[in-house]
Amino acid sequence: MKGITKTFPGVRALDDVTFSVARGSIHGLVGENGAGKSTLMKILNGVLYADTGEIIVDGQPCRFKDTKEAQAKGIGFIFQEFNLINTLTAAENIYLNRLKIRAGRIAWKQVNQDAQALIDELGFNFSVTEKIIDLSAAQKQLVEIAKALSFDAKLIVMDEPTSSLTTNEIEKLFEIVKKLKSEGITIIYISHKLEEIYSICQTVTILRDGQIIDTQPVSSISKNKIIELMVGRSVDMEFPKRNTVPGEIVLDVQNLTRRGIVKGVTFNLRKGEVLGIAGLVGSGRTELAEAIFGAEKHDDGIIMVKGKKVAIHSTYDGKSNSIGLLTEDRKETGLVLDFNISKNITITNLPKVSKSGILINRLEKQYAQQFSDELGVRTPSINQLTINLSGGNQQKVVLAKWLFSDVDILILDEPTRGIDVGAKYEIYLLINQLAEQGKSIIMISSELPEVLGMSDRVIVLNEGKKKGELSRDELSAEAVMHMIIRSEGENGGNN
Amino acid sequence: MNQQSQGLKKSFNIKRFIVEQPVFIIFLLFSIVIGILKPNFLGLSNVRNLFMDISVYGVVACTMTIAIICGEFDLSASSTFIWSQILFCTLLNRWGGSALGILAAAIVTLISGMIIGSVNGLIVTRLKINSFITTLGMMIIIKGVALVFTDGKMVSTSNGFIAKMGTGALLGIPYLVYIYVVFVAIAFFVMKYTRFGRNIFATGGNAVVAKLSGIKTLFYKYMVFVIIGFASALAGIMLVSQVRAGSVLYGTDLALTAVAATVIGGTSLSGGSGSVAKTFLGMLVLGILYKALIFLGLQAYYQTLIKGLVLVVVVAADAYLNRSGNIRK
Repeated sequence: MKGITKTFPGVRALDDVTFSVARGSIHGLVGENGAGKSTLMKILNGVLYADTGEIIVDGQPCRFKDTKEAQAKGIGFIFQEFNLINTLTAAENIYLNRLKIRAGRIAWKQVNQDAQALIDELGFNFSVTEKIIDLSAAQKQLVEIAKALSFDAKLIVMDEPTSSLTTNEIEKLFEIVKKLKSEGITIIYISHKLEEIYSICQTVTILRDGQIIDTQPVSSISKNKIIELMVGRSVDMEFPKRNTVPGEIVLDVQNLTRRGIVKGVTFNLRKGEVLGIAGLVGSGRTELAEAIFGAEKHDDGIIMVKGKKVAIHSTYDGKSNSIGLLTEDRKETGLVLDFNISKNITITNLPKVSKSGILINRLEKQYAQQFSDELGVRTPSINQLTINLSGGNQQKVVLAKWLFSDVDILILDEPTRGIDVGAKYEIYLLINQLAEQGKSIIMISSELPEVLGMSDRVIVLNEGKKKGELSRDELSAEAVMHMIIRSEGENGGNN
Repeated sequence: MNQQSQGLKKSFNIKRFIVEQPVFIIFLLFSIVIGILKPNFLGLSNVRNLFMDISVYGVVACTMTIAIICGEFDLSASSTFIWSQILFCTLLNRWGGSALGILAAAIVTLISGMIIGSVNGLIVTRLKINSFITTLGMMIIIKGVALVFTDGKMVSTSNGFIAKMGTGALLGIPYLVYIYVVFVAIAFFVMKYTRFGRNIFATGGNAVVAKLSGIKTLFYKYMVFVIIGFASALAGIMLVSQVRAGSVLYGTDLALTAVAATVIGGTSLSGGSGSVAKTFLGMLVLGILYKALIFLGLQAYYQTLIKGLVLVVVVAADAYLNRSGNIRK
């Protein structure tokens, strides 16, 4: 891609970007949210047109009017979110709109065979006649890859392909990516996780504010250097320190059980404490949080808030007992995207901006502005719809809405998922601030370094059970993994 | 205050206003064209009749909009409307001798409408059956009840007070129009300036987010059905005061007309946005069309055909304008 420029009203999204990828390599593309990665890739995909510049594939200049033309040139895309139809089978999805017709009807046998061959070749074994809805995240990802390959893709763009995968699944994906490379297929790999860039890419390109900052072989550039180039300043990658001593117990959870998912979990949380919950995806972390907040009912167990036993049957009960939950998926469950920032912030505590049921507009705007400013939401106005904000800013609005609710106990489920390094650091600072103000925080995260770096204490979950607890002094990645692995062994024994 | 001044600023931006309020423009143009063709059309008595015509359905359209904003929908409003006419007439004939009796008849009718809405709401929120199926079933059931109750015959009343209600006027404006306008004004205020209204928007905008923000979404969904039940019963009473009878034949198209007015007004069917004020305009467009057809000497039967056409044209125009608006973003 040569000299690509794209402007949106008021923004120059891409500024004379020239970007080239060598055949058969895995090329990393990194940059903060809003740096222009997606715009660049959308131009390559034919979703957007460049204002100036050209795309050159195998020496030939091309111009893609739509995705179909890009596909015809052998460019395939795998997005962060799956583009699959849940109710159809894997084979139907792979050959969607291209099902082979023989004698006026679909040649199902042929279609399924071809699809199965693609999946088998990738070294996975599941049946392509399974419906997407019954597949695991990794299997879905594989269907996406198979779909790209079925177009004879020579170049596959992967945009945050690991965001919904477990550690094991990520490793398998990497094997497949490497295999594709050995077959001469070129991969452009976009990720926020620099570890991933280091483990599979040969070259990395850093994009910032619509410009290419640098392209380097990964072997000759350090992680801190990449981060520095991404954010345009040097960032202390250490987790920010806080000076808090956890106080009295504010939340006491005893033997909390959700049939089959959460099995008799007992723990407590102190005032001003950050309690980490570590565990693999599917260990019951989110499910535990939902039960405490009242988003889902629990079958057994006691929840005590500030020494008093409370009955939590709904989210309303949870909020009334000073518990808030920041969910892991801000777009689906965190924000009303068609609402502006102001309305999203006040949603948790309308009584605070109203008198006998009637909203006081001036007060609402005033509070919304205050919280938006305090959290550093970057926006021209609090009347901006949240759908137009970047991931990091959206996450800040979700945090703002829970701060506005005045709850004392805040459960943060994956608070930094899918946001860039700079915004992450700001979120960490906010968490510390909250703890210092005497709020109690439960932090759930798939990124172990984050849990270790931020928590005063960590509990480890596996398969719905609490496997242990580690104090600040005992905290280490090894100790956490040891607890998880030991319990895996136990389960093996039981079966 | 702030928002009001913003609203004023917006209206000075004509281009933006056109994009946001295409219905109002259509309404204006249409009135002017007919007004030129037939100067009588914009006469006082005709305008008066226009408002009179839309009052009954308008009350229900207003609450249908609230239901749609909340992400719900009520097909059974037509049947509740029919049942309420019949019940009200019957009760009037029995108790209508005294003022207290008339009041009692009205209250019982309104409560019966709210009970029907309440059952709808419970089925939707407790049994988790979608509102389309629930209210389709309810629509058929209530119509069945009305048929059994009346043997399919019309029930009429000669109650003097109620006739006065339907035809009387204050300062030249019919009572029914006052009821409608006050009803819309209250609904507008509730939706825009109260917690109750805001939570309905949030529930319709994204029920999961609303729930996870500690909002009792099921309560709001339930209430929306109760409100529309109430409005359908009120509309039934209003109709009886006009025509002095109730029949299973009056108002079978109510629910769909209410949805049409909502959509023509510019409220999105996907929930979470919209306004009862827009629906008021939607009702005006439908009303003025109906009047215009009569004025132009077309048979009343054309009304249905034209109503459908307008619905499709307006929605298509709105979608087009929205799309061209989005590209600029």
